[in-house]
Amino acid sequence: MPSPTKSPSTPIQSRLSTDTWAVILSLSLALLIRLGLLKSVPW
Amino acid sequence: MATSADLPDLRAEYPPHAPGRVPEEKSTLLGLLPGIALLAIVGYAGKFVEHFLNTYTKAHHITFPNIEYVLWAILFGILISNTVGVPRIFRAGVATYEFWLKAGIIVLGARFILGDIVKLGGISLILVFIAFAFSLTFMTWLGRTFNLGPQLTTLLAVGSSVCGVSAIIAMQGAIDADEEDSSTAIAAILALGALSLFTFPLIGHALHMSDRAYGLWAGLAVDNTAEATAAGALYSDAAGKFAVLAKTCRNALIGFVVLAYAIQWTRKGLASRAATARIQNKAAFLWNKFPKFVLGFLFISLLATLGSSTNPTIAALGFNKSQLTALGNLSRWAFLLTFAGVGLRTNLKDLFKQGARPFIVGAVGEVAIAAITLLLILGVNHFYTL
Repeated sequence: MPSPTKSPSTPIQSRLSTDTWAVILSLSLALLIRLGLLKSVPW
Repeated sequence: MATSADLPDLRAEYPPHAPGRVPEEKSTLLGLLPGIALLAIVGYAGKFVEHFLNTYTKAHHITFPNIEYVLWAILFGILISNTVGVPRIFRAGVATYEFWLKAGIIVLGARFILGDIVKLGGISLILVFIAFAFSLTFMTWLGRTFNLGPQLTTLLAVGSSVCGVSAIIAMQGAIDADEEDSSTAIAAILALGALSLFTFPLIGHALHMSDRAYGLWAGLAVDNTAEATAAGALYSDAAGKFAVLAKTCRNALIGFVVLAYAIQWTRKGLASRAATARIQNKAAFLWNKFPKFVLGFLFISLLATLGSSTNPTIAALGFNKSQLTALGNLSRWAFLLTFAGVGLRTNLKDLFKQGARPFIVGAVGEVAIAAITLLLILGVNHFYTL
């Protein structure tokens, strides 16, 4: 039986909480800054 | 591109316009973009107006107080939300403001050295416990006096003593509260949070409070994290930093409080079978409820602390000065989206239509909590300069 394909409008579902996603995003950006790949962030 | 299966359902976790109401439709990654763009436009409009007013008044030698972008972003958001309204297409993205808040708090960790956190966090924790014990007892008594149901009373007490909307949502499952009670409690907390944005800075300035004392007060007395951060930032940048620290200490208690209530309700035989099963593994329950962004905040602070070391080998492990500036600016951008969301989420009609009694209980309780925490802060400030 063919497995169902996911369309772009598939509802967003995750086992990870929003807190965890916020940690992942922030630490990834911090890593980019630490490695010098993101040199400055203007304000 | 990330697949939609990897992403969180932000709307379900943080219902925006109608507090406590379950969203009708699910979000998609694409569906979040219009709302995030609206947050960015409203927030940037606030930043632009702040800059424009500063430049204009300076060029024309006009004496005008510096009104931070925070207030403009919130006001523009409230204006949109309460006049034309926020169309459905933007709502899912606007609801992501809590996500940006948490990301902003984590990165804000770069502006704290661990020693400061231990010192100020220690004072905050003592004050948090005193304020927590008072507000929980007082709100419970007030709810009973006004004949509110036990679940609504509990939700209001926990929401006002721990961390606002997150605590109410976490507690809802633990005590099997119905949707209407949660919605009412959230509405009361949000309405009072919105009022605090305008009253707290005025009181702080009238009492000539230091940034640190005011920030601690905002973090201890304002219930919802977004409003506490905004109330702090409206006073000054430094006050915003201390408000976040005090609020983070409160947030860290959420798991313990929800667990204690869940155990109490189970012992009284009031909890459902599902709620009882959830507290069998207490460690898993605590970890589930613990706000993970606190760990991210501490980790970034650790790297900032290492970077400030006088030992070059240790300092090389952490962030240098320009990296800290970049991280500080990142947190400002995240907060810019958050404050726009606070305004866009504030629908005054929705907030006040929940009935007078819960609002009165909330208002009386909040005024008492604000007064007691203010006295605590002023008392501590007398012996230990904040």
